[in-house]
Amino acid sequence: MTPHRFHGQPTTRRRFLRQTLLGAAVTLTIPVFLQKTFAAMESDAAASPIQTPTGRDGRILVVLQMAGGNDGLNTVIPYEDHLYYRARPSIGIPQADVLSLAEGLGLHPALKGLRGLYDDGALGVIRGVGYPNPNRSHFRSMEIWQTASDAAAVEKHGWLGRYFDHACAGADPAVGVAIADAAPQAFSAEEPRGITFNDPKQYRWAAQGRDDDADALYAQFNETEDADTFGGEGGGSIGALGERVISGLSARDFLQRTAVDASRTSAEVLAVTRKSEPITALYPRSALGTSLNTVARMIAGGMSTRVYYVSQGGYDTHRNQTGSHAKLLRDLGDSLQAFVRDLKAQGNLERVTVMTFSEFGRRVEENGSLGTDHGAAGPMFFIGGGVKPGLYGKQPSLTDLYQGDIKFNVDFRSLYATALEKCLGVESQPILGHHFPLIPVI
Amino acid sequence: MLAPLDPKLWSPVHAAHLLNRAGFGGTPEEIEALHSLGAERAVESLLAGAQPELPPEDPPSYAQPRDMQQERREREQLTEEERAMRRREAQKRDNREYLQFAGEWLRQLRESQTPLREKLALFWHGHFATSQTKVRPVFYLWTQKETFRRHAAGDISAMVKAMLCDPAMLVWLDGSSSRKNKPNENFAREVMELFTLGEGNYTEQDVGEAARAFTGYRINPASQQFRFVPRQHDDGEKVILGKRGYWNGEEVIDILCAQPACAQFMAQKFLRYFVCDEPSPAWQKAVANALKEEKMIVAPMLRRLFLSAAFYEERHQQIKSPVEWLVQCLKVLDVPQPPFHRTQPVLRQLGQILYRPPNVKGWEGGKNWITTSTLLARYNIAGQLLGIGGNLWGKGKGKRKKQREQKQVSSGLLTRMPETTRSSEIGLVQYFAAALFQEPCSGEALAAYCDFLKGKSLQSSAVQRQLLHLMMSTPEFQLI
Repeated sequence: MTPHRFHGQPTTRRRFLRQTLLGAAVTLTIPVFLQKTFAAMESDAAASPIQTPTGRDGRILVVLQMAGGNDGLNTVIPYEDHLYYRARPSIGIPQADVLSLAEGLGLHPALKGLRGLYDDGALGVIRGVGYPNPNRSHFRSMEIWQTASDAAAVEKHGWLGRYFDHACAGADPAVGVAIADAAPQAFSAEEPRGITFNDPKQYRWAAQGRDDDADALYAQFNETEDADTFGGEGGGSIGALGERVISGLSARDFLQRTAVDASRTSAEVLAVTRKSEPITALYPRSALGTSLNTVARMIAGGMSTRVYYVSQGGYDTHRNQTGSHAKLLRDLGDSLQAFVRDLKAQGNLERVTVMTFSEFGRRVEENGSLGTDHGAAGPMFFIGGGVKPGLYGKQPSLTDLYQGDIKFNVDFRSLYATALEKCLGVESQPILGHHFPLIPVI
Repeated sequence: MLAPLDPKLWSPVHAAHLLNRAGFGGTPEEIEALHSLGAERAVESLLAGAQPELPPEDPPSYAQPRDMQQERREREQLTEEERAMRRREAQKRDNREYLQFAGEWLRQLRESQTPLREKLALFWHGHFATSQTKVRPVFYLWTQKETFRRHAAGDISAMVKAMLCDPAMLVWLDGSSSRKNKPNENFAREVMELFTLGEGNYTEQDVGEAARAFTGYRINPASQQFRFVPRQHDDGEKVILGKRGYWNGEEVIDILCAQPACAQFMAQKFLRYFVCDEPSPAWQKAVANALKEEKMIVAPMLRRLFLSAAFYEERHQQIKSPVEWLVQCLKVLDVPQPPFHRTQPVLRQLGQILYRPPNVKGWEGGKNWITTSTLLARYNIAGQLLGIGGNLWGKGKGKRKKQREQKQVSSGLLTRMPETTRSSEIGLVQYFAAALFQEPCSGEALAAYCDFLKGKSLQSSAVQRQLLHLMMSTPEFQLI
């Protein structure tokens, strides 16, 4: 490609990026790819009449994964059901400790944070969420949740990836942000989008030298003063990358594409997170607390992101679960409560909805190691300003079991449909493939 | 797919590919040495280093076993407060020892004269992915790693059986706390789903029955060694994959490993590790057949793979794992090993910490290694290895200023550079290209690098380091 082609044009973000050090490094090896990419960007941007709504003005979905299979029966506890205590003589939560909600159900005593949100009218609990023919493999079940597929079908792309494909053409790559070490499968898409990082401070090109071309380019890369550098109004100014160029990406093309996305987003992320320092006093000093703190900083900074993805691991409680499960739930409740307070103080709470999920619940009966083995359905939480508080779905029966597991009564895709339609404002059927009834939690 | 390579085609490019995939790459000199052997002897030399079973070694100072029974007795005499203090001390010690263990393993991967053995040990670690977050005693981790190295290229069923009796695995998947009257399913499920057959090739009933057979496999708290406890073992009749008998744990593993699904499942795992991210059905069939024909023994299967023509067509198509990337950087730049309290955060940023896999399935690998942030981390850490934007040998926080003033760490690649290569831009670029990409640069890339050097002093170490950093900050350098 010839950089000279763009001389005389106003400084656009695209042009700026072509000249960054990272961009330069990328173009060094396979310029043909980038040439095609940028050509596609130009033509798509010109052709696209629609400006995708962005998180700067629109609503925001935060997906919180509880990895490992959360013990739903010890999270939302049927404390009036003697069968619960009969199945769990050692690890059952004593009735006196349960934080009562309604209808004989209550939260685990470590979930004081969530209980506070319930009282504030910011928590919806959906009971008995699952899917037909549940799979007890962590990996297969997680895949089903991530791709929103039927248990018998294998779907290549993630449900959020399909949302990006359907509804976010022309959006910035940062339309989806995962605070994680690896990109979640839910983001995988025909046209890969969404960025992943753990620490925003390290999400940048850190080369430094003096008095040479590389240094000059690096300075330009870190240039954050020029507003025009970061796209036009509304954050939807960057054209999508043409499918022709990137479908069926080879490892090499995939690397190219990721390098371009990194260069397109890192300055913005850094600038946004620099604007507001983490409020460490508010959040637990856990990985989840830190992740939600980062998300809150990015929302405060006006990122164009519409979907954030955070994760909390450790729910695979096969053994001695009482202490470890309580610790996890305390972290969950306290982190979410801090997040809500933070957003409220920012004035952004009304725009944000958090949805929690786990790949499965656990067996009704405790095992011989004071833990629980893999099970099926479990509860989900919706949290945020737009949430209608209360209990949804039906509490699963402890007598009508399938292979020792409770049966689901709400398909998890109903909650995805609800999040897509009520929070992200798009039609859910083209994304999920079927019509799923909405749950009136938002 | 396993049709042999024409020996006449064997070239330094082939030798470089073999060393990249069957080891952690090498210097142009090491590649030439391997090339000079010819294809068959080159492959044989790598296998020879991986095959003989190693004699058991004594654990190093950071991985000593402890008498947990005695420690528990002592704890019982203490007050609540003293116990809490003990616990904190033990945690600190475990963390310190773990850091050293992980750092020493990284050094071993780099310095080993038997690279295929180490490459296979890393494969098995990804396969039986065990995490220090749950398995605290470093003696367990070290023991498991040594088992991976010892049986590296041997019989697959022997390796799975070794894991059945492996203390780290017994803690990781709760085997040691599984009880005869109420077995824990964790190990039984994963041994089928992740270690031998793959999802869909067994039933929930098989999981339950196998869990019974795996009871009684425990740890002796006094020695931290495996022990079999007959009274906790369910010796009743079980039906596993349609086979009825009074099976014990080892016998269940024999049944699993004899399934055709096991050869297919393992073939795919080996292919994804050694050959390509998405192996074709033809590849999978060929390697599964080879495994079956070789009685599920790894070394002869690898010999056929490494001598096949198709293996060499996958050159520069695979994304390096973070560990491969880092080890290769250290080898190629020929810089001193950074201290382990620095390599650990580096591996975290890159997305692969030894003995901290994301879950029991291990690392997904391939494109999953690369996100916007891990790619930036690769570019940035490449710089830090050259003293650009940081320094991996410095003390870290609070001493930044001093660090900057510090003399840059020496790189053998730069100090060994022949005088003639510095006399032209092309000479310099191609010298680095041979080390980084194992082949010369050409076309627009070559022009771009030379363009960057225009008007700069080729003698300047700073310029040389900048060029190296730029060449490493490319998609190309992430591939082998």
